[in-house]
Amino acid sequence: MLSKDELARYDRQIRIDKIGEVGQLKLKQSSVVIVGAGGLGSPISMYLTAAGVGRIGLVDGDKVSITNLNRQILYGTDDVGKDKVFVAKERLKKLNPYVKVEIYPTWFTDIDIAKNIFLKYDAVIDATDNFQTRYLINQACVSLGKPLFVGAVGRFIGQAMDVSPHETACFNCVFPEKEKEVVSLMTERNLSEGIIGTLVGTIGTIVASEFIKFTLNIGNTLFNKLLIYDLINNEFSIINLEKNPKCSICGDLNK
Amino acid sequence: MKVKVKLYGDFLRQGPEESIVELQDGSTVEELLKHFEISERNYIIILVNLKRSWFEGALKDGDTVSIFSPVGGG
Ligand SMILES: [Zn+2]
Repeated sequence: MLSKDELARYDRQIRIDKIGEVGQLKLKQSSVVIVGAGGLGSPISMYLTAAGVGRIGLVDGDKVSITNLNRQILYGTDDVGKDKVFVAKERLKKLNPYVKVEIYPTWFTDIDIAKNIFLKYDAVIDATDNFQTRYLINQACVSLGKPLFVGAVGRFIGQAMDVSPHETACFNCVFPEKEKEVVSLMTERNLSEGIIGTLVGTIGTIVASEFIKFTLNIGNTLFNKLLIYDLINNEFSIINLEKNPKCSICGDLNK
Repeated sequence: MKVKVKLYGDFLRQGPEESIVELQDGSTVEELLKHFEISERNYIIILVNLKRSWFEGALKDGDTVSIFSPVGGG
């Protein structure tokens, strides 16, 4: 049930025929864990909190630094030096006290840490900033059968895709994991490319919308699709993907 | 024939952000990649006029080719 106060709070989205009170209740009953409380995690967690997702997990072992502030809008100047997820929880609680925010100030140093957290949620959002963690999250989701929503950025380019394990292409089907050294080199290069804050805003809200549509079972989603956004040229492209039967993570040989 | 080429991400190391390349008629994406000395064949997404293309895809005069690497930041 939605209280009178909740009905008022969500009025503008309940008015949309495809959402309604039924949809709002679905959102309230849903849960999601967001890995990464940075540039992508900021808009994703804020919009999902405002939209009334019932329970949101937030994973990040990092502290706020001054170089985060051009894009990580969860944090303010006074937060520099503080643990991200604790600041984020306060901010999100203020935004919407009806949402349960659960925080994990940790790094995914091995897959079991990820799995133990993911088990408690309907779905997972990959909002991390490095390829190593992206492969680990993908593997954990495939092994648990948890739907995964991926957002990623570099320079002026953003990418997003959804994964339904064993049914649609996983992250590893599209970009098969390479040797450790290559993966860390890719992360390093990506970091050195830089990121403009508005880009994580665009990609973050796309990923948050994907989770909402998935939960409400409405519209078209990015399962078996990769969205590429080129901010500098205003170009959006969506390409079709296919599950790779030989994928080392989700391939039929690895069931 | 002439095609417009846009390089993104890692591939910015192989050439300018945007350029016009003159190729022999009937050339494919593969030949364009060789022109830029791009050897990567896995971590690469190629769009021709914003539609996905593969290495053997034939190019024609006036095409715009966008060459992407995966991004991983957040
Ligand atoms: Zn796969």
